[in-house]
Amino acid sequence: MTDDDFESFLQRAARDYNAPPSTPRDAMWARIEAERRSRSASVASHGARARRWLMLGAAIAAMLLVGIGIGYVLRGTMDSRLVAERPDAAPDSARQQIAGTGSETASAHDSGSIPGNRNDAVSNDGATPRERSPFAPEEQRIAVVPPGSHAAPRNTPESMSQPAPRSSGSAAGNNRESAAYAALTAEHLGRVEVLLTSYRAESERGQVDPQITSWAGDLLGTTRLLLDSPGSSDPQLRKLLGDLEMVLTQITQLGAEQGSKKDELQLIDQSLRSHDVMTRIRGATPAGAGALPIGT
Amino acid sequence: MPWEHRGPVDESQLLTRARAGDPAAERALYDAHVDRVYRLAYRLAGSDDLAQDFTQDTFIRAFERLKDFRGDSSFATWLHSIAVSVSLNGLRKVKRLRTREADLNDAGDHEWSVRRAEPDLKLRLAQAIDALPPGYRTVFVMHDVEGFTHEEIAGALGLQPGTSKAQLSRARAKLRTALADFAGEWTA
Repeated sequence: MTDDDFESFLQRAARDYNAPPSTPRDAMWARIEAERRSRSASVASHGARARRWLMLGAAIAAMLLVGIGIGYVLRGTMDSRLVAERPDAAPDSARQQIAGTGSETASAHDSGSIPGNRNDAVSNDGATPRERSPFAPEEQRIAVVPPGSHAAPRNTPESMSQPAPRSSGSAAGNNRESAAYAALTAEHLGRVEVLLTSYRAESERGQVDPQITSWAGDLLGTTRLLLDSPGSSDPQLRKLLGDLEMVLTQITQLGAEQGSKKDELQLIDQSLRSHDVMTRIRGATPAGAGALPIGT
Repeated sequence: MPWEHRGPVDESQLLTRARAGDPAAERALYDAHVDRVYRLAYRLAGSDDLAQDFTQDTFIRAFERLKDFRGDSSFATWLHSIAVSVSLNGLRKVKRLRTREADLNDAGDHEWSVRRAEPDLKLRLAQAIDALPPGYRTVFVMHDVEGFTHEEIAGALGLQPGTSKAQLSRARAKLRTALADFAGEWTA
């Protein structure tokens, strides 16, 4: 048997190997078209979904940008107010300690971002910071209270017998009230942080400057005003202000006490630590609020 | 007259129109080549369902990639290369599935087992072709069964024509060995 015989046999026999029927061309073409339509529809719907997500993402990004812009504007406004109202009389030790906390105050100090002598800064009413010392009565400096609020001292008969008055009730008015209250509170918390930092620096030496206690008295008044304000609806903020009121009261009473202050200082330190006051203040204070242009 | 016999000018015009998304041109290209693609797929798969699946997939891919076809080879060669690739990949998947099913069922009524039980020469030949390594089997089916030239096979499989010839020779040798018992019947 030769190779040629075998090859001819193969070519004859192999014709029957998996012999195909007639081609079902129309049926296959119909399925090809359907499959291609389905794929293109899938691609189109995928594209539409992707476009929807892109638009949503773009909208979110735009909102974030607007929010950041508003934040910058508000921050600039607050910074200018704080420059006008900075407490020049803060003890040097406090400034050093604040600079060591790594807060924005320290950044401003280190970078010299607020140039000029601190006595040169003039507030809106033309008074220099020294003339507007933070140790002046706080009620005089905070001339703006939420519109419509009577700012009556807490626990007075007036405040206990009457509900806290509200503004006109319009949404726009409420928003303005809330914004004004939030700005004032942030500013106040920044000042309290500065005071408490100053106090802690002083108390470590066992001696507290009388200016600190006087300053604490001023801030105590403002704290109570904020507590009584109709804008103080946030329970966390109310609790923080309540704790601050207690601590500030203790510091204020240091000046009146004639006996040993060591126990009192320990008690205040304990209050600060146990209520985690400093951390909560920093958490509630927007970056830059209460920053003082120190060290110039 | 089928499109494949109308000359390269007609086909290039069809390709241009098909690239532009002309459905009539796509259908004309399909009509011109579907028989050969389906026959090749059926020869390799041995099943009408699989052959139809492979043929459809071949044309879907070809139309999707038509913009990538640069005309270095003929459209038929390019299409057959897709068909062989689709068929061999599909058969690998089918083989894996059948192996799993055979492991699960452990049954002796498999089609291939039936073939083994038959003493008929043509069935033994079919069994021997099935048992060829995929490369040898493809070349054998394309050349000896479907009548492709070595140049066409080389173009479709990405081989040199000499390699195609060598693989065909080895395939035939293996088949001759497998059918040694029927040596007397070859000339019958």
